[in-house]
Amino acid sequence: MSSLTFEQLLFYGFSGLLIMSALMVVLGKNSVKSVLFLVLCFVASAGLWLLLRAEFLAVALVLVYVGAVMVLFLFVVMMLDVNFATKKAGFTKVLPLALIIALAFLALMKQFFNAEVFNQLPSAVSASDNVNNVEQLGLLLYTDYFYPFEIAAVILLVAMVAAISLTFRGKRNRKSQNIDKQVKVTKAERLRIISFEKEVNKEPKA
Amino acid sequence: MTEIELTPLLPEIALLILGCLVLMVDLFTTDREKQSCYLVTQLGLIGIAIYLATHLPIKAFDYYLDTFRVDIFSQLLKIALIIISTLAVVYGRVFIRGRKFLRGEFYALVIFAVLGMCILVSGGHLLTLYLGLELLSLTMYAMIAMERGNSIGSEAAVKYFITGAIASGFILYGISLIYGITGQLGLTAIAEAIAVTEHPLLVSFAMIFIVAGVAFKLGLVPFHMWLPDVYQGSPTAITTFIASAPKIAVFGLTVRLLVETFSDLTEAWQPLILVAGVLSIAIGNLVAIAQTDLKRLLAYSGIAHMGYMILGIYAGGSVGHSAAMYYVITYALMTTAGFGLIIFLSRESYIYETLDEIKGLGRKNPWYGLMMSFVMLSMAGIPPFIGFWPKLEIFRSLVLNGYWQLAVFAVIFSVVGLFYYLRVIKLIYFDAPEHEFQFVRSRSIRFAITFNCLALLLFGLVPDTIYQFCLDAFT
Repeated sequence: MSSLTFEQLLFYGFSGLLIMSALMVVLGKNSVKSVLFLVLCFVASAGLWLLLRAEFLAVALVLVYVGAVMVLFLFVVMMLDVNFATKKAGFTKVLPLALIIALAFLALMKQFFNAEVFNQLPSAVSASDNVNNVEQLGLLLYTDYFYPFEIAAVILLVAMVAAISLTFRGKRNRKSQNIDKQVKVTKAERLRIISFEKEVNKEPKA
Repeated sequence: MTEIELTPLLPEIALLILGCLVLMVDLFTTDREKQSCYLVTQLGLIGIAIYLATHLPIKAFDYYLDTFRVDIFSQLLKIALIIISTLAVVYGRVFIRGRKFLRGEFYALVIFAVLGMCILVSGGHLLTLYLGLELLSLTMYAMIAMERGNSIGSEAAVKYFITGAIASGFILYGISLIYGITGQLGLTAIAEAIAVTEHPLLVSFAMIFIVAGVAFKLGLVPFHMWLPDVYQGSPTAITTFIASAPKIAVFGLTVRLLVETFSDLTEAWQPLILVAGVLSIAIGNLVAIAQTDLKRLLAYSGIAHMGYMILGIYAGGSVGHSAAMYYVITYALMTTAGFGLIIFLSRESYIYETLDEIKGLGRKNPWYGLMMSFVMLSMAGIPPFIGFWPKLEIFRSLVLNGYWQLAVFAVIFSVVGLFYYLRVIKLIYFDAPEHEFQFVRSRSIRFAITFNCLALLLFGLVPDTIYQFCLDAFT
C-alpha cells in the first residue's frame, strides 16, 4: 500500500470537509447554521483550488463569497426568520422515492465513470510552470472570452435592474415643510370666494 | 495584439446600448406613462430588425474563437423574434397602462430579454449558449413578478424561478460532463470530438441532461407542469411576451445543440424527443379540452404546438428542420395575437379570462369576434389560415422520412384539438352575451390586433413568403 503524499492528504481532507459541510447545508434544521456551513463549503473549495494552483480564484472566492456575499446572505436569512422545520413536514413522505432515484443515479454514474473518462481535459498547471495566475486569467477573459465575459456583465446589470424594479415602491412623499413655498403663497392661491345661488326649498311633488 | 472585428456583433451591441438608453430615458422623463421609453424601444428594435434584414450573411461564420456564430439561420430567427417582441410590446404597453408597473423597467427588461434571445440563437459555444439562456430566464423571472400587488404573479414567478433553476442545473450538468469528456466547449469542436470519442455511452448520458433542460424550456410534456400556471399567473402583457418570442429562441438553441452538435448521436436523442413530442401532442390537446380559462387553454394548446414542432426536428433533414422553424415562427405570431386579444378584452381592473365571459363576443362586436375566430381557426390549422401550412409541412416531412404512423397520430390529435378551438368560436357566435363588453380604449392595440390577425390570413394565402426563408436557413 502506497502511503499518502502530503498533497493527497490535503486533497482528501478538503474534499471530505466540502462534502460534509454541503450535506449539513441541506440537512440542517436551522437555516442560519445552513448558511454558515455554506461558508465552510466555500472555504473548503477555495482550499481545493489552491491545491490546483489557482491562487487567484481561491483568494477571490474567499474574499468575494465568504467575505461579502455570504455575510449579506446571512443577514437576509436572519432577518427573514423562516421556520424551516414546518416546511419540511412532507420531507419523509418523498424520501423513499428520492433515495431510490439518487441511488439509481449513483449506480449509473459508477457504471460510466472511470479514471480515463476525463483524460481529454487540459491538465492543471504543474509546479514547474512559472505562470502568473492573474495574468493568465486576465488574458483569457479580456481577449479570447471577451464575448461571454461581456454577457456575464449584462446579466449582472439585468439582475440589478430586476432587483430594483421588484422592490422599488415609488417616491415617498416626505411631510416636511417647504418654507419657500409657504412664504411665497398669495391670497389668490389660498382663498377662494364662491358665490352660491340662493337655494329655494321646493316642496316635493305629491 | 490582434484587432477584433466587431461588425458582426453590431446588432447585439446596439441592443445593449438601446437597453441602457431606455433606462436613461426612463430616468429623465416625467411623463407617467413613459411614452418616450416606448418610442425609443420600438424604434430601436425595428431599426435593428431592418439592419439585420439588410445585412443577411451569405454563409455561416464563427467569430471570436467560436463563441459567436453568424449564419442565415441565426439572423432570420433574430429578425423573427425582434418583430414578435415589438408586437408583444405594443400589446404590453396598453396592458401596463393604469396598472402598477414600473414602465421604463418593463421596456428595458424586454430589450435585455431580446438581447438574451439573440445571444442564444447565435451562440457557437456552450458558454455563450448558457449565458444567453440565463440572461433570457432572469429577465423573464423578474418581469413575471413585476406587477405590484399581484400575488398570483409573484407565485407564478417563484414557480418559474425554481423549476427554471432546476432546468438550468440540468443543462449545466450536461455541459460539464461534455466538457469533461471532450475537453471542448465550442460546438464545432465538440461535434468533432464526439465523432471520435471512446465513451459514446457517457456522451449520451450527458446529452440526456441537456435534452431534458431544453425540453423544459420548450414546455414539452414530462417537463410541462410549470407552463399553464405561469401563463395564467403572469400579467397578460408578460404572458404575451414569454409565450411567443422565447419559443423561437429556444428552438434556435435546440437546433444548435441537437442538430449541429449532437448530430452523431441522432439515434440517441431521436427517441427522447419522439416520446416528448407524442406525449405533448396528446396531453396538450386532451387537457386543453377541459380548460375553462382562456389563458390556460392557450397554454395547453402551446404545449401541443411545441409537440408538433419537435416532431419536425425528429423527422430530420432540411425538410423537417425548416418545417419546425416555420412552425415555431407561425406559432409565435398566432400566440401573440391570441394573448393580444385577451389584453384587448380587459379593463383596468379586470380581464375577461374565462370562456364563459367571452360568450357572445361575436354578436356584440362582430369585428373582434371575427379576429378571435381567425386566431382560433389558425391555431386549429384550418386551411386558408397560416396555422395550416406548417402543420402540413410537419406531416409531409414525417411521411417523407417514413414515419407515416406518426403523421396519422398527429393528424388525429389535430382533430381532437379542433374541438376546443371551435368551442371558443361557438361561444363567441352562438351563445347569448351575458354582459356588455368593454374594450381597452386604445387605437394602437386595435390596429395591432387587426394587423396581427389579418396577417394570419394573408400569410396563409401566400404561405411561401415565410417558408422560403425557413428553407434558406437550412440549405
